[in-house]
Amino acid sequence: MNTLSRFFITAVSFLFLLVSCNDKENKITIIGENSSSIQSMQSLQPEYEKSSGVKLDFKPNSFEDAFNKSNQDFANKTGLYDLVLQYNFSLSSFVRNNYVYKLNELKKESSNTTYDFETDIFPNVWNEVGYYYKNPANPNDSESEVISYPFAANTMMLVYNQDLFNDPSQKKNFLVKYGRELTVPADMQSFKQVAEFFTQPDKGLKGVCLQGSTGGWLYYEWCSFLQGFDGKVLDKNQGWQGNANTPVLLANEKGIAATEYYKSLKPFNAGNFVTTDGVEQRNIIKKGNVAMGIIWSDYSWGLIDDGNGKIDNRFAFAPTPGNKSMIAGGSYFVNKQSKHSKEAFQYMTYLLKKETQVKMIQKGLCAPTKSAYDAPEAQKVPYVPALKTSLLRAEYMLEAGPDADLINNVITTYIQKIWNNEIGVQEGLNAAKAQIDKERKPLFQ
Amino acid sequence: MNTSINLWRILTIGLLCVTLLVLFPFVFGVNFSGLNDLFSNGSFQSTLQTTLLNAIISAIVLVTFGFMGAVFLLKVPSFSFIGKNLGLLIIPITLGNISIAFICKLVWGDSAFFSGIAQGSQFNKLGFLLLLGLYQFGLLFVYLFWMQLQNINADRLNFAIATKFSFYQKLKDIYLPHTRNLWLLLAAIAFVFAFYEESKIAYLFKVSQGTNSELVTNWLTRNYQTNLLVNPDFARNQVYDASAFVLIAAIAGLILLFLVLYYFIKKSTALKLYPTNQSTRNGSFTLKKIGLLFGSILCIVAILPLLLSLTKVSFSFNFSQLGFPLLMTFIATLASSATAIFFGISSRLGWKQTLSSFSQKSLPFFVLLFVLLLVPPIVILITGYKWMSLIGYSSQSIIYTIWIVGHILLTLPILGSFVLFNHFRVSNNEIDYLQVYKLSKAETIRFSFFKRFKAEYLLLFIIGYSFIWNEAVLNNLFSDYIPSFVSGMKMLITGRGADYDKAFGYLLVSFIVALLSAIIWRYIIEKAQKQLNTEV
Repeated sequence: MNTLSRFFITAVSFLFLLVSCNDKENKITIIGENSSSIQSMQSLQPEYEKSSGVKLDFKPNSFEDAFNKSNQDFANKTGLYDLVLQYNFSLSSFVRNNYVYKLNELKKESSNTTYDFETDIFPNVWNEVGYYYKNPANPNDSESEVISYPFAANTMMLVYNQDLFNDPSQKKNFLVKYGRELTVPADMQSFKQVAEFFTQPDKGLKGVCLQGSTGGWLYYEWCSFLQGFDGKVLDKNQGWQGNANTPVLLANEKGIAATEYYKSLKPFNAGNFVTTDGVEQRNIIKKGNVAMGIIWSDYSWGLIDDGNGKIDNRFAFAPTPGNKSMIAGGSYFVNKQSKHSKEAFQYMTYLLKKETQVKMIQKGLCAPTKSAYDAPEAQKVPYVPALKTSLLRAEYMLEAGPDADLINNVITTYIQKIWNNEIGVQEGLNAAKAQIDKERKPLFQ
Repeated sequence: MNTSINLWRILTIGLLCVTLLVLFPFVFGVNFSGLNDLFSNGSFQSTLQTTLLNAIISAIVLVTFGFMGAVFLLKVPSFSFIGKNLGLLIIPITLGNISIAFICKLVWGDSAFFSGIAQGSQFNKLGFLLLLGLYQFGLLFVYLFWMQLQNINADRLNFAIATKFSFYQKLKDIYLPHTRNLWLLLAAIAFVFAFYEESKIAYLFKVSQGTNSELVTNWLTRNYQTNLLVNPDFARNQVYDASAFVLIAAIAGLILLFLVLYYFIKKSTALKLYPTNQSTRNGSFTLKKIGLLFGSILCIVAILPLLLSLTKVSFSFNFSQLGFPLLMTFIATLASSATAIFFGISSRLGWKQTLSSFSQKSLPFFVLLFVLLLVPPIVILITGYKWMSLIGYSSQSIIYTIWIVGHILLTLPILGSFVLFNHFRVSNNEIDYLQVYKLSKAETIRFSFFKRFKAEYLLLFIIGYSFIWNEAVLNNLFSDYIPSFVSGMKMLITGRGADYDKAFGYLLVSFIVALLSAIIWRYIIEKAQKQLNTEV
């Protein structure tokens, strides 16, 4: 072996040892989807580490990776992550499988005595994303308990292009065509009318951009329209409730009306529909040729933030058409295998304090506490007033039991087929109902 | 002599066993309890059939394209300007799936053409995927075939010229037999990648049952995610059962493809049909011009999408996050390449008759070698989590070591078979000769392998680096410890944190790696030319 080879092997070995140095600091490891929620937490990292002496190790991942990794960590009891940020549909699985601490268990360990912020959390949101059956083995709808604090309160909102809505010639044309002023639509009828009006092929304009892709996008958006028609997928009062025998309401007259309405928006729609997810919708809307979209609240920050600290003022926000909004969001879950559960709980309570929440709103968090939205700094964020109004009126709409993903997939499948005229509305919804009825039962055994 | 052969065999089998050890949790986890449900599941059956058909067609199209492309380039000399720059054809493979999907979206995402494909039938989407396959794998295959054709014995070519062989005769009696092993190797690789295609189709077309566009990996992943909401053990059991069936189908498909190609080449080359020679006096000159033009076009095709994508978004260039994984990938590639070379040598010397070419006799060996590649990626991911729960995440040194060992094992099927394919050139007579003269093992390795295959080993390193850099399963598993390019890209182009500008900054690092690979390869070719000139 010549000198050069020896030197090379030594150098590689040294580099390997160098990168293998252990990091034994006291820290909380946090995993969640890479989103404005976790990014807002990261923005306060130096401040918290300085004040608490506890190091924070954020592990932002794509949604699928964060979901898989946290589940595998729980199932294999590897205790890699102390704090898991997950959405409401994971709560049922985490509690049934005894993976996470309940809030009262964490409180018993903590030296904290006051939790003033609890009264400030949107009660409807907390009830949907942080509560579960007291006895999961024998579930009773009237007996629930709090499991965790919410990290974000999400909903869908109407986003509209102000440049188009404020254009005098558009206003004038709208008045001539419909005999009324052009306003931001507050009900289903006017939403369709405005979408139709702004569909102007000669100017390259479209009325709306809908999310028709798999991965939950179509399902959630369609549910928002179903809610506008006062419909429901399952007959229950909270997303996490239900059992194998919960009636499926999907194919009733409200479901049919909502789906026919949804499909009637097709001529006014921008994009490829079946490939349009939240990111693509945002990219299409940003181009400025679309009048409206129904957008997730935690995608709003990405729409208005230009990445250099400037706000794109072309876009304004309002609650979704109709008199209801839907609840989504997620909770902080403390891993039962964590060696830093106390520190993790302490960190959660810090994050839920009003002053912290106000700072996080300015970094894109859809805060789960009410008062933070009223702070003058928070009010500067364009979507904050609409978001608060939406969250105050928000109700359960989205499934969060063990059958949540199945329902999401089946509805997506049939609405896509309906949209592409492969199947009729009634026939498609009946087929979806039958499939959900059949396939959800084994998931509750 | 027997002791020596047994040693090589034991070493080879030992390495294969260690590789297959990865699958132990899977093998013991399959209980086939859900097989009846699977057989009655129409969507699973049709998805698997589509996937299998698509993989077989893709493999045949890609390998035929590679061969025909190389035949067009035949008259381009290795040391001409175009010949030296044909190394650019390795760039697409070094970019990887997710980068190619992202570039495609940036460059063509807004076009009416893409919109038509996205809203069209499954046939359109798979056809588009095949086009991307031609870019990603087809160009590399052209290059590999071309290099192989450059090695044809000059006497054979001179004989063909002297006896006025027609183009058809040359194709049948010289080019096809000479490249038979490469046909089979590349077809197998193309089959595996097409069978387990997931990220490109998922990102570009948002595959779903509603649009009838799912491939079997998409089906497995979707069902796994659905069942995770019950609990991870239930989800794992379900996916294991389905994957066992998919694995059997993949093995059957690969064997079928192998046999079809094997007999096609065998029968074609055995045909006694000789049409009259239609070549003209200026044929060679025209072919050279066509070759140079075709070579230039291919080089432009290889780099044009990258140049076009540069004009589509603004970007920030940030090496800080990727410096460490680049270094780790370098270390892992060194280890993987060394293992593959060792494997290629020991198996060639251990079974000199059986492993002297791709044939029916060597088929079981290669199927065994490819088993790890034929296991659905989601199974590798889940078994990876299982192994890590047994080994533990107690120290970073362990994590890094496992990551490297994992890459050695996962890349062994492709890199090992690539090395073995090159080692077919070491003839049995030569091995016998060395053994008669009682050369030591070290001398045998040095004279018959290391000295002869320097360039091939370098190409192996370049391809290995790109595979490890773009690998999606193991890198994902460890991405919280060793930042993964693929996981990072995925996070920046999908989901709530999507940021195309940052993603493009990420992508630039991959561009640089790809360009560096091409430059290094060109340098080696030039050096080889100078060496040859000196010897002459």
